[in-house]
Amino acid sequence: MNFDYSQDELDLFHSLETILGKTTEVRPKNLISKLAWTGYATLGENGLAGALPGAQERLAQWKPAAYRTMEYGLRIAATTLRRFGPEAWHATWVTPIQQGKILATAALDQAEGEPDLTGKPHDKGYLINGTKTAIPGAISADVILASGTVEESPALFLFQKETGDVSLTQGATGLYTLTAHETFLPDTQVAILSKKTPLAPFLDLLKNRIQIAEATGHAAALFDQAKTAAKTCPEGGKPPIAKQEIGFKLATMYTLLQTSRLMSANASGLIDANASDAAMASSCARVFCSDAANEIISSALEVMGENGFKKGGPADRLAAIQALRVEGPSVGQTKEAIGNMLLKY
Amino acid sequence: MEFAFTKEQLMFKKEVIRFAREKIVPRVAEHDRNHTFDFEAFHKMGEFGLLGLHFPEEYGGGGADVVTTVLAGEALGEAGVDGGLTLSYGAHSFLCADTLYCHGTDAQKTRFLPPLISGDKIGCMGLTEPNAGSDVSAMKTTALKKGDTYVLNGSKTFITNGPIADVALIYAKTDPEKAHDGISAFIVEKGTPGFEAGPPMDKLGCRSSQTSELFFSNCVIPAENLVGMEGLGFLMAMQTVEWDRSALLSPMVGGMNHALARSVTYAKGRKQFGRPIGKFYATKEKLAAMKIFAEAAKLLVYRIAWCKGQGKPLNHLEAAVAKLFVGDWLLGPSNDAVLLHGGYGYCHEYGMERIFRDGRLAPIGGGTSDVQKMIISKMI
Repeated sequence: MNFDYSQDELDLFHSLETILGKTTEVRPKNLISKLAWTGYATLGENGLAGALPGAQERLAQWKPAAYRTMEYGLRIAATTLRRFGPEAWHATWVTPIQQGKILATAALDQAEGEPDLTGKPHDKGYLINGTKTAIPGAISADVILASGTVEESPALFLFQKETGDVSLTQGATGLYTLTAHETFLPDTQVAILSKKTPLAPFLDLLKNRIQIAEATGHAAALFDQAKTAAKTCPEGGKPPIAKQEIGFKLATMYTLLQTSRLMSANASGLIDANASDAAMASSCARVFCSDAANEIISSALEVMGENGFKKGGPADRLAAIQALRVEGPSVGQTKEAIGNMLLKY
Repeated sequence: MEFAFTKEQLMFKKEVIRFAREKIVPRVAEHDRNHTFDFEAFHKMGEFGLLGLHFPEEYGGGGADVVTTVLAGEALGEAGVDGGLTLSYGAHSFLCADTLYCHGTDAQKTRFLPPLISGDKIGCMGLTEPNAGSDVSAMKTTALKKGDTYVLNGSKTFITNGPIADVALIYAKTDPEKAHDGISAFIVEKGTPGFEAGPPMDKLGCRSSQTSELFFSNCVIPAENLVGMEGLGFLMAMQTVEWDRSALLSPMVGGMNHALARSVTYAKGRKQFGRPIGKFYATKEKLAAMKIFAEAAKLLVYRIAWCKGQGKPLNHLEAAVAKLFVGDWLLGPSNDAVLLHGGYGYCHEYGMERIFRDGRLAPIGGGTSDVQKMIISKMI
C-alpha cells in the first residue's frame, strides 16, 4: 500500500502543468509532440504507470477539447496495437503515434441497431462492413483502429485516412460514427485474434479509464475556478468563501474531487495489474466520478453566479460533462453492470 | 500509488471475520434489542488480540501495523458485528488506551495497558460536554491542582463506555482562563469518590454501546494521574483524530459490505412478478450505490491509516474529507439496503434497519459533518 506519488511522478505532473498552462495549442497531434519529452505519451511503458490517471486528469483539466482524441490514440490505439497487433505494426504505428507523427483514434462502440464491423476474406485482404460510433477526433485522425470480428474471431482493423468506402458522420455530442461498406483493407491492416482473446473487456477498461479521468479533470478545473472566485475579495468586503453557504459548497466539491482522484487511481492501477476486480473498480469509478463532476459543475455555477457563464467559465464544460454521463456505457448502464457483477448475472 | 493489501493482511482479515461470525455475531441482535453491552464478546475480542492489536507485545499487544489494525475494524463490520460494539472497541482501544500508550508515564502504561488490552478493564474517553461539543475549548470541567492532587469538577456527556468503564481518560481545564492550552488529560478510575456515571442513554443506534454522562464533584485524584504535561490535553485529543478517521470509520466500510452481501443474497432469492428482484434495474442500482460507497470510503479511510502508519503528520484536510464522506454519503446506501429488503428491511431480525440506525452516528460523532465542512473550507 502506498498513497504517495513518487518524485518522478510529481515532476511529470509539474512538467505537464507548466506546458499545458502556457501553450495555446489544442490540436491533438501537435500537443502530443509537445508533450513527448515529458514521457506522457508512453506512460506505463516508462515505469510511471501510477502517474497515468493524474496525467490524464491534467490533460482533461487544461485541454478538454483535445484530451479525448489524444487519449484514444495513445492509450487505446497504441496500447492495443502493441498488445494484440503483429510485430510489424509496432514500428509502423505505435512509435509514430507516441511521437505525435501520426494521430490515431479508436472505434470501439457498436451503434445501436446497426451491425458491428465484420470482415470477410477477399483477395489479399478483407472486405469490411458495419458501423462503429462514439469515435473522438475521427475526422482529423490519420488512422482509426477499430474492433470487430472476422469469421467470429475478434479482429482489429486499421482504417487510414485515405481508405475509400468509409463514411464519417459527426453526432450531436461531437463524436463520430464510422460506416464501412464493402471497404477493402489489405491483410497488413487487419489482425485476427484467437477466439479466446478478451478484446472487448480489455478495450472497455481502457475506455473507462479515459472517461473516469476526463470526469475528474473537469471536476478539478471547476473546483479550481470556483475556489479562486470564492477567495477573490471584493473591495472593502469579505471573500465569498467566508460565507458558510459558499464555504460548505466548496467543501463538498473538494470532498467529491479528492474521492474521485482516489477512485480513478485505484481503478487505473487494477487495470494495469490485470486484476480480477478491475472491471468492478473501474465501473464504480466511472459512476462516482461522472456523478461527482455533474454535482461539482452545478455547485461551481452556484458559487460563481453569472461569472460562471462567461467564456472559459464552468458553463463551457456543462455539455461535455452531460455527454460524458450519457455516452455508452452510460452512467445508468454502468450501474446496471455493477449490479450484474454483484449478482453474478 | 498502490492500494493493495498484503496477503498476510488479507488472511488476517479472514481470520477476524471467522472469529467474529462465530463468537460475536450470533448475539448482536439480542444486545441491540436490549440496549446491553456484550461483555462476553468484548472479553473474547481481548483474548483474540483485537483490543490491543497495535500495541507493543510488552504490554500484551499484537504489535500490528496501523493498516492491519484498521483492517480488523473493517472485518468486524463485514462479519456483521453491530456499530455499538465496534464503537465501544474504538473508544476503548484508540481514544483511551492509545492516548495512555502515547503520552502516559511508564508506570501508567505498565499499570493500565495490560488489563485494557486483555479486556479485563474497559476504557473510555471524556471530552465532550453539554456546551462543548465540536468547540472543545469551551469546556467547563476543571482540574485544579491542590498539593499532590487534582480536584475535578464538572460533567461530560455522550461518553461511549461511560457507564461501564473502569478507566476514564478525562480532559479538563487546569487553567480555566486559557482556551485550548488550558486543557489537560487525567486518568480517573471507577469508584473514585466524587466520580459518577449517569444511566445509559437511550439512543437511535449503536445501542449495544453504553453511552452516558460523567459527573465530577470535588473528585480528588492523585497528581500522578495527569497524563503527559499540563496544557497538552487538546493536542493529545487531536492525535486521536487519526484513529477516529481510520479505525473508527473502517467498521462502517465493513458494515456496508455486510449489508451489500446480505442484499445480494436477498435480491437473488426474493421473487416478485415471477422473477428474482435482482433482475430489476431498481435493485441493481441500489446494490451499485452500496458498492460504490464501500469502494470510495475504503480508499479514503485507508489513506489516513497508511499515512499514520508511515509516521506522517496528520493531514487535517484529508482527515476531514474522509470523515465528511463516510458520514454524509453513508446515509443513501444504508437507506437503500433497508428499501431493498422491503418490509423485512424495516424489521429488526433482518439487521438492515440496525445498520441504517448505527450509521446515523457517522455524521455526528467525533466531529459533525458541518464541522468537517468548516475545516475543509478553511483549509482549501
